[in-house]
Amino acid sequence: MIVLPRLALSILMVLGFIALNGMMLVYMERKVAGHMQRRLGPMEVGPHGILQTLVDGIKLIGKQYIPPYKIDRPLYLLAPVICFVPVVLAFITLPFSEKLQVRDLNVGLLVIFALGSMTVLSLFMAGWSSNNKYSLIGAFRSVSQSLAYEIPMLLSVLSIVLMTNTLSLREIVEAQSPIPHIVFQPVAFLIFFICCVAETNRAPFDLPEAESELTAGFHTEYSGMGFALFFLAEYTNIVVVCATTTVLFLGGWKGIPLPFMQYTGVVWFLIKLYLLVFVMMWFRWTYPRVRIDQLLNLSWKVLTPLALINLVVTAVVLKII
Amino acid sequence: MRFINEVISGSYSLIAGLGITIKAFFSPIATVQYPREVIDITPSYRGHIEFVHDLVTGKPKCISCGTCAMACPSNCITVEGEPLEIKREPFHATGWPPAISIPSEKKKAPGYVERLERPLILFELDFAKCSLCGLCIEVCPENAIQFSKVYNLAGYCRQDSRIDLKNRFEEIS
Repeated sequence: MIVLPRLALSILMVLGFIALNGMMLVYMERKVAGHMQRRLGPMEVGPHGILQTLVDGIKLIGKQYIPPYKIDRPLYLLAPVICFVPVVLAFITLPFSEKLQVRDLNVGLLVIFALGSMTVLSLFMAGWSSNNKYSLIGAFRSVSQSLAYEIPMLLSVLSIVLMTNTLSLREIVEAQSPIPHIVFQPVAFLIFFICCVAETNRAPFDLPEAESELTAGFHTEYSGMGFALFFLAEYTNIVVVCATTTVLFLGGWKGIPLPFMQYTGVVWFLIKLYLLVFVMMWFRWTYPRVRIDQLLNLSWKVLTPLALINLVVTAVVLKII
Repeated sequence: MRFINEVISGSYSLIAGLGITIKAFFSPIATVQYPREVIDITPSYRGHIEFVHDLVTGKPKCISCGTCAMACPSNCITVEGEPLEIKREPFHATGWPPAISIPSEKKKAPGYVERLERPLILFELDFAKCSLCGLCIEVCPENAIQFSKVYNLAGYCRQDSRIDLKNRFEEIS
């Protein structure tokens, strides 16, 4: 009987977290960008500009929906929704602390990667249906990029799964009780994190929406809420991949014990999570965008062989021990 | 072997890049929050022209001779003055040499000076055409105009760029 209220509460908490987090991340991104360029970033709305994203969001909601001429209407309307829904669903199995988890699925890791790879479908739908050459090129790039980077990503995760013998995220966190996996698997961590940056289409791998080449890539023709959903999905996706990295390599909610550790472990989880988010922003404001051939070379010629070698070495070492 | 070298040197350069941005992240801000914070204007800054404030009389020094309007290469200055008139003023009040001194033939009262004057009606600058060359300032026989330090010169319509220097002077003083 407790299932339904628990579900309702989980939905509320997850959606609230997504909305708040989206606003906060946009603000954080602009502030980090500002300080890395020795500016202050937004300062006008509210103290130190903290209400800037809220005001921007209200503006986006109030904007007119302008469908372009000769679009593929069902796909055009569905694309932002299909972009947003999987990243929300991924929160079902993310363990924020020992007790703060909607459901601990025994295939949790698989669910996250399955949902993560749906993003590329929505990006391709958006680019295809928009009847715009920039959108289409963005969509093509997004597909080839996603294909290239999912392979080393999954290979690097496989070595973790070999070590823990489970796909449940909670058990993976429990398995790194004294020492987090990053100590044993630094190469896998590096590969996984690089692939995460590429999967979320962030600079230096932001080819699908390269502003200087493709105006806005796949979401060129979206305005108002359609664009807002893409934007929110992008930032939520960042949190999902960073949370997955935290769970897989940084020990999840483990940290110095606090009172009510079963719930307050979320503090450590969020600290690690936002540290990774900061690193991703740090990447974005440091590196210029790579070319498409460099992008694919990096994946197929460097990351995939490295991940394979890492997997084989892990398997051999585990067999010997 | 070359491939491995490339990977290693590439990784090093990536880390060096991260170092540069994080150093910038913790260094002080280089920008100014413009409408609220303003940096000092350099002395050589050229705003639009304005009248020199005469410290003795508190009026503009302009004698409405129109030399500036003639010198202006873009014809952006309009000067209008009333017809010439003779003014009798107490001697001490004239702080600067009279515009055109006429040695009066008649007996004049001691302590007074008579001079020809041409009171200024209109001095208008069309700033949209002005190239801030400064020729008007150089030719002015009375040194009556100078560059101002005004920099908020954006306007909403073409009329906003027409500046009435006489009104402006009165408003300021």
